[in-house]
Amino acid sequence: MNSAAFIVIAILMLAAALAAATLRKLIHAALSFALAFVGVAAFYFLLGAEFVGLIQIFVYVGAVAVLIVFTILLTRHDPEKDRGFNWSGVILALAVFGGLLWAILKTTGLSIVPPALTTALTVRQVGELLMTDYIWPLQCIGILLTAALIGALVLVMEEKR
Amino acid sequence: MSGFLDQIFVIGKKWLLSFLTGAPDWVVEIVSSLLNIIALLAVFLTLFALMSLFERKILARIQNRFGPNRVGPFGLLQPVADGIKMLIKEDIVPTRADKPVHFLAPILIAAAAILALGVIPYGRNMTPFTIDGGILFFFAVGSTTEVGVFMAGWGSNNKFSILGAMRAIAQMVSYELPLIITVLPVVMVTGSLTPNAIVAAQAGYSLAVLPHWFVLTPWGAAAFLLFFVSGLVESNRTPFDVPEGESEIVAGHMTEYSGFKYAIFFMAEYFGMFAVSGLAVTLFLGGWHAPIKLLEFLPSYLWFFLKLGVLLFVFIWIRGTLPRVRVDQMMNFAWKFMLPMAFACILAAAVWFYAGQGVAGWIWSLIVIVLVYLTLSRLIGTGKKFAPRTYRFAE
Amino acid sequence: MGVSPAGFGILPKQTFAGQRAPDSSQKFAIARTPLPAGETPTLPATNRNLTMTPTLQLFLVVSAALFCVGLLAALSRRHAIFILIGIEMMLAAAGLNFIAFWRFGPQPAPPTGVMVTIFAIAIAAAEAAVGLALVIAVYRHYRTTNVDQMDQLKG
Repeated sequence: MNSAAFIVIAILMLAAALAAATLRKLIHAALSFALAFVGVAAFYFLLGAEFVGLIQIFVYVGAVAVLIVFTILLTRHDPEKDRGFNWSGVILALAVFGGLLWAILKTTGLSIVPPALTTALTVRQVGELLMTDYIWPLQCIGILLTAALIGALVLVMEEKR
Repeated sequence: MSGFLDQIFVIGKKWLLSFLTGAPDWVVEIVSSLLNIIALLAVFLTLFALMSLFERKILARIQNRFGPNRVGPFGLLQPVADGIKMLIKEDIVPTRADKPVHFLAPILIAAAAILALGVIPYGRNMTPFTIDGGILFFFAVGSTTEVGVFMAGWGSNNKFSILGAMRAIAQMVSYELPLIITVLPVVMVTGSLTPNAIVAAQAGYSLAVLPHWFVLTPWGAAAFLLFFVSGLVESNRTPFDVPEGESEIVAGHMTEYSGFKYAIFFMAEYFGMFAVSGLAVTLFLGGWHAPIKLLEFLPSYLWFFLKLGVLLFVFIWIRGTLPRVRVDQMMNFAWKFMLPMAFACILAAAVWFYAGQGVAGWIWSLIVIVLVYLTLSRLIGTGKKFAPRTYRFAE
Repeated sequence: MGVSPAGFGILPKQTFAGQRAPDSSQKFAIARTPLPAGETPTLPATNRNLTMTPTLQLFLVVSAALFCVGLLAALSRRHAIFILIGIEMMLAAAGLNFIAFWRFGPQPAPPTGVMVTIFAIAIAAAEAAVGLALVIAVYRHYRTTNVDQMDQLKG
């Protein structure tokens, strides 16, 4: 039954991602982009990392998707249609996929089943790790996010003449 | 006897599941989840119907008139009449609207609100879905409402709708931060993101009369007020109903929706109110615990819905009393007052926790909150913004 | 599904032979192994936890597919926002890889993969914010979001 869940989520996610990459209208692409990330979050739930899945929905669907949608609204110009599709990009992406697939399938050590989860990963564990082993990355991420916030504001502010 | 009454729904569900003893485990799990969902939807749809009636009646009484009282005894069948009206109205979709986006928007908003209701503990052992990061799930799902609001505004192909949607999203995003940060003191003191653990941390009574609810601490009271106001904004209720203000923007992102889709928007707003009130009861008002030890014989779900009813009454009361807030005043309030005050609540909670959680802790955290509040209210500069208007006439 | 889950992990040689097929039907082909006669597929008693999943290879293939779709979006569209969408998809695919490797590693595993993914999501959000601010700023100047027309360094 869980292999059924895997297949359903994989199809949903890849279909939404393909739609996001190839649709003509930008708004439809942005909305299927949000759907693709819900699919990725579902994968995280399937793999037992629920905290990361929730953060994924929170950050990507709740924040990044809204940002993208706002930017689309603010940068509209008529005519709406996208000017051209670069087919060499498709060939390159397919080539990269072929290369990655060959590498994955050649590595025989990867066809393993998941070992049984002895203890589920709790939020408490993640919190404790963030405050002890990963305190430096946490502070750096804080500074990075502050810098990104200020930078984005500065970029978008109208210049005062 | 009181224990049986308290657990009557849990026992009923176990009896229903006992018909499936031979089935594989995953079937039992799916049926159990489905029973939870059906019970949740039944309760909250009934509550929605009753609430739509009581809102009109209470607003009417505040405005010194009767509410709807013709359809049934005391107007109790008015929601049925409203439902029939909404269902038989013609569903008008604008010609140049984006059909799939226009169709999916109300569904997405309603789905987000209903999902958020799934992690709240309604009684002892009565949480529909226990997730380890329950509070985080609630907010993650609540933040997907913004995408739905945008879809509604865009899909209508109407300038008022897009403007209304942008204002609504700006309002919701600004107030999401105080909403989440005011929850942090509770999570910090309890040490867990699970709603069940938070309710369990508020058990117990001092002197058999004073419950250990978080709202009875200074940081808890401030955090509860901030959370409640943010919840008012998140569900687009007066005084923050700029997105749906009829005199300003013709119903904003919901302009082009008629009939049943409008009813779904309406339902989504009410479900958002239920979710935020339910979470406020869980986090601050002690969940399903009774206020004094003597009254513990009453069932836990009764206490939960009683507290929920009180909060919903306050929602309606505020709607009947206060006028609408201007958009820039609202954003000012969020970023310059509520956010620093929310951080002060975290500080005060830490002070309370480490000063012993007794009288000393209470007094120290009260001092922190009062100091920050006085500083902020001086700094926010309301003198210039809200001064009485001075008129200059052409001389 | 009609397949013994024990069959997922014991495949000796893949029948893929290096075909690169981005459609999802090939993923079904891996999963079908013939059952021994008379055996009904049941979940083995030891592996009863709810997060039992297919092999690591399947997860890596799926995340490679997502990465390549992101690459497709970043390389073949001319609108700046599409390129940003593609970059975000690539970051998400990398995060999926991390979590898959964490889950399939020897248990009990230190949650390094989870922590790295959390930081990766935060970085992706910061980068999306700055990237979109850049797009808006450039749009104000050039009045277009087509990256082919943003070809002058002089502002």
